[in-house]
Amino acid sequence: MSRIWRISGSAITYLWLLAFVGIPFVAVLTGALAGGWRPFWQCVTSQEALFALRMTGEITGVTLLVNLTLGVPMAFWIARKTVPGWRMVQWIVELPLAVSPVVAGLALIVVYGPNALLGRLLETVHIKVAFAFPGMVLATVFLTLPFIVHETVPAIRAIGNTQEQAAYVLGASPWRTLWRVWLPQLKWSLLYGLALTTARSFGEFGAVLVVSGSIVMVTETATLFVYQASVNSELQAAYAVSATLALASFFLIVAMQFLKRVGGRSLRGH
Amino acid sequence: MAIEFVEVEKVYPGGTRSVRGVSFQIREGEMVGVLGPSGSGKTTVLRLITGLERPTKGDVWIGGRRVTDLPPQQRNVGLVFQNYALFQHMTVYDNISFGLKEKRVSQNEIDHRVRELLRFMRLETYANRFPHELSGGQQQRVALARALAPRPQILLFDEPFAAIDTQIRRELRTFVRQVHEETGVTSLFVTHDQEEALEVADRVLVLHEGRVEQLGTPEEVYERPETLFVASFIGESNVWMRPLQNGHVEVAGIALPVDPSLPDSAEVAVVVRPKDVQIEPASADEAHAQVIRSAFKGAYSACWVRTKDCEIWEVHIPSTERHRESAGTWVRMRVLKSFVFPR
Repeated sequence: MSRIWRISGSAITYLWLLAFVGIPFVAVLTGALAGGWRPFWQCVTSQEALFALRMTGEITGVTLLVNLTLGVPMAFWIARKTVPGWRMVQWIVELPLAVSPVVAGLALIVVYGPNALLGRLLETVHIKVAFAFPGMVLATVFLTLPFIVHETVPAIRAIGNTQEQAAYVLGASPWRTLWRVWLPQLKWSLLYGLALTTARSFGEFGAVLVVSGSIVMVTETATLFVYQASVNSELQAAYAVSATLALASFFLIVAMQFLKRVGGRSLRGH
Repeated sequence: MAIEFVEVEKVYPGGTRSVRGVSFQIREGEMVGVLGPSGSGKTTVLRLITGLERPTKGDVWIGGRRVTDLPPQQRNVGLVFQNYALFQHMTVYDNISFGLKEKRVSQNEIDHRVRELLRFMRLETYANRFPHELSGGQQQRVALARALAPRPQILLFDEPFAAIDTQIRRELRTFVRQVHEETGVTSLFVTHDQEEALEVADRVLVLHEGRVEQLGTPEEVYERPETLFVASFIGESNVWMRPLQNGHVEVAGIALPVDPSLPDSAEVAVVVRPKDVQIEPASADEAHAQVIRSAFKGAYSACWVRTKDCEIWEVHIPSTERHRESAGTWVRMRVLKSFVFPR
């Protein structure tokens, strides 16, 4: 009896995978390659598609850098609970998990838009946030910051602070302690957080759509390109860029599984 | 290096007063045991020496230099943590070399020093192991080697043996003492185990509720306790509260001598150690007490007697004397030594 349950249990899992991952993935790939490699390649390497893919790459890259420099101190701030304001920081970091990306994008327009006070102020020093690259990065950072913080806070708490104190007594400055004691031990959590960030940045749509205005060859990312192409019934182009994004996600998932296994092993060692 | 505390006070954020006006001096090359019940401030005293805590008031001096505001990085102090706090991602070798690297010692010198310590700590075969692959005793030795590597002026231990089995704890205790003798570095170790403190330390610093009760040799704190707390905390003791009458105090019908400076009719605490009482069988009229129970404890026999005031005394009889009084025997007691403290 239990064997039947087990078999049907895994059958359901596989069916689920097939229905929601396998079939759509294959459909996108076949759609992209329906006319063979040449049209696929032409679509992906068209000026507009290349620009969109590069834009997504650039936003992701900058977001990763910003998240790393902001996320690590924030994670310490929250994990330590000694510096006042940590509750506020935690609240701000967790907000995006509850807020719709479109709302987040709109909020950025309200604050940084050309008709808003801050937006106009920044424009006088020639910094354009809304409908421009900075705004898109800002939206992506806002939405992805929780990942790195969420991954590292438990790790920081598990390690505690006696190793840090040991390093201080042995003559290491706080900065050196971060490099020699903290980062090597937070490595796997950070990488996992960064992988999640990358995945989210690749796929981000709503917030970026609102904040960028989706201007072709100016603020159009890969997901915006796919949307625009499908709306314009340029299905070949939509499939081609989708397939590229899907492949990137596939490799990311494989990388994350690897990180989880290796990181999990090194954590168990503790 | 000598250590001096001058009226040091430490109030933690939230108002907990951990150390209240503590002053003491520790001489160069001494090994001092910091003894006290939990919450007495002993770990805080240690952390004030390392610089991991700064005093709220007062000053800390190390080797004639005021270090009150010096960060831990600049104090050249070695600290062995209660749970070792080894760097989990580093091998034994890298753990031991950590402090030397921070001091920018040459690679050759680092290697020489680490090898020397590995040998000294009997850890040569474990150089490439990670902390989680070691036993508690081995981790303890790595922690000690790591603390010793940069040749600290002062070596501190925070409850170093708390997490180790009794058998290995004995060995490590002897080992730590041996390390102290070979390096000659001024050492302090925190413990709540008085046996440990008395055995290993040259002098014992007894703390209670954030104050120094006494700083003295093991003999001094045991044989000449300065306060009621020290007398009752160190070693076994019978403690009785009595009013002072006509310059003497009576327990179980036995008059005991009292410091004449104590005011008459004041309440005093009388402390009598079990080993300072002798008993011998006597008739019921002449006896002070009756034996309730006795137990063989190896080097001595413990004997509990009930006095005519219904107070229970513990009495120790050296095993060499060989006579154990059986329950029910009436005995006369002789108090060889007692301490009387004002309340």
